[in-house]
Amino acid sequence: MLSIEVIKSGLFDTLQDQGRYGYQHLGINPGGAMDQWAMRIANLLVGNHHNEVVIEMTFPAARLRFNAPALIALAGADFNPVLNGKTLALWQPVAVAAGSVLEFTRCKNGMFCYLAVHKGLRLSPWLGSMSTHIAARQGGLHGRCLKAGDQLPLNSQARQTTETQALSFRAVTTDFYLKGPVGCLPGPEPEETSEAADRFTQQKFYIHPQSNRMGYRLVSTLPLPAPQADKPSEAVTFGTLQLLPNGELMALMADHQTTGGYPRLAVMGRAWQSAFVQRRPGDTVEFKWITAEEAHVTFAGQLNAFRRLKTSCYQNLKTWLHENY
Amino acid sequence: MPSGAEYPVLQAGGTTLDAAPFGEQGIVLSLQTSRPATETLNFRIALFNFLRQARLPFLLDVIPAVKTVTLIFDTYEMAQRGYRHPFNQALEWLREALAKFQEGENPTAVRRLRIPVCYDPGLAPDLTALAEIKNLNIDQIANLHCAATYRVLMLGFLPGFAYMGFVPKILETGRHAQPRKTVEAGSVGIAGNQTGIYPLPSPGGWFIIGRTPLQIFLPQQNEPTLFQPGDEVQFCAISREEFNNFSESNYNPF
Repeated sequence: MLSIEVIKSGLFDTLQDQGRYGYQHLGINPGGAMDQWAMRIANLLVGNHHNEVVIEMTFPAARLRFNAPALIALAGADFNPVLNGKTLALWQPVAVAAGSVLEFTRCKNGMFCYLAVHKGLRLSPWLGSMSTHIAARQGGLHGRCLKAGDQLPLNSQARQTTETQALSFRAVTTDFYLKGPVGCLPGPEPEETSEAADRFTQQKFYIHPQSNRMGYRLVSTLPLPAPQADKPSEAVTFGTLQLLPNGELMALMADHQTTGGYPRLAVMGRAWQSAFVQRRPGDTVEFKWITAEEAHVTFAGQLNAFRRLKTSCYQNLKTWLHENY
Repeated sequence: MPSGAEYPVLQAGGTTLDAAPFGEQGIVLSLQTSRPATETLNFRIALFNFLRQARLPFLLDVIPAVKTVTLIFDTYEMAQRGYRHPFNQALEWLREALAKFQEGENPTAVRRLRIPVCYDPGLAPDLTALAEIKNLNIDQIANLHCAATYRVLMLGFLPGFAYMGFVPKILETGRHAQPRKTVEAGSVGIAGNQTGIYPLPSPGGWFIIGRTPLQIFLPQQNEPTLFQPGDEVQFCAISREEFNNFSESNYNPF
């Protein structure tokens, strides 16, 4: 069978694309890859459309066997990938031979690692997306995390190569992972969160171990002043920072519920989201206020870098793909 | 830091709306002046239905909540296509579309659903306790819950979870301080002045007073949930025997 086979389960490995939209009024959240840039870049590196389904892995990650030759790329977190005993570079397309085994031996940095394969996986979408929706038990592979024995069918196979060969180019990613404080726009109810708004940018937050694809819990030494009154649920998005009654923050992530009842202190700028989600529990994070203009200009800069990357991937891959697929 | 900003306003059929930006992708619409609850609900649902059908460019989602309607735009694609100010542009499209909005004219007639519920303590772990707190017997609770007609105020929390209002005053109750680890799919609960049904097994803090044998979450259908915002809902009591012998294919909730 032309497939990627899971030979050992990871902690929480799912299939993701950019997510499903158009169903939030029915309580169905978009889901999708946590690090959207890494997912998109991994796809570009293997000549895919940027929204092709990829494997999203956390550490410890699954051990995988390629039952057919394939062009793959890894992006995002560095879990020290080892292919047939040799360390593999991230952000670079690699042609792997049939029978190759990929494992991840050490968590060097980051939270989510992505594996893209040329032409993607043969699975049926749910409501227009391949993303795994754990709560609904839909999408991805049987709506659940990958486990040992799973076969992920490939859409195509490369010509037989006898040994692994890394292609001679890689993506430069500095534009997509902004250093320093995370830029935030004010939430839609500034009058309810005004007391917290000042202190929000003046102190450090720690990412609590109780953080996952639904949300990152952010704790500070001095809790933020928070309103106690119940308020009706309102729509929330990826990157919304809720101010909890105990003065902590909840940064809503890909598997957030569609609505929430806590005041929305801020919303992270999209340009900062990839850098944010790759932080690990125990890491610190600081925030800064930005304007809509800054958010737009910074994101537009990343889009330009992405466009350049797309062109260079295309040029670097076209001959190889022509000869090998 | 942000100040108490003045938001742009929009006109929708003679009603003034505040349009607050929400991150880079969202616009939150809310009524500028408050109206009675039922009127606000009707207006919100009419606005939601209108916007769902208005075919605004790059619109990904329209999410009604108790007090607002939020629009989510694909500003990634908009930036990709060179739109310099996605929020202002989306606001302009919205302004044009809303010029055609008339509150009275509801494009989709209200759907009416009848939901069978078995009020049996064996299926509803909080029924006996609630009856004691309220000084009622189980039949009285069932009768009160079935006597009201509800509207789906919004969906959220889980795929297909409908928040319905409003339960008779005497049945109003808080939530469990410690949510239950697992609430069965189909469980009918009360929290505050709202009632709702768990579409999937899930942790939950609502007081569970009954269970429906109907599937609430329909993942394989084009409309993947039984309820939609604005639906009118009535519950009808069924016996444990009817619950056990219930056949989905012989029952039409509409």
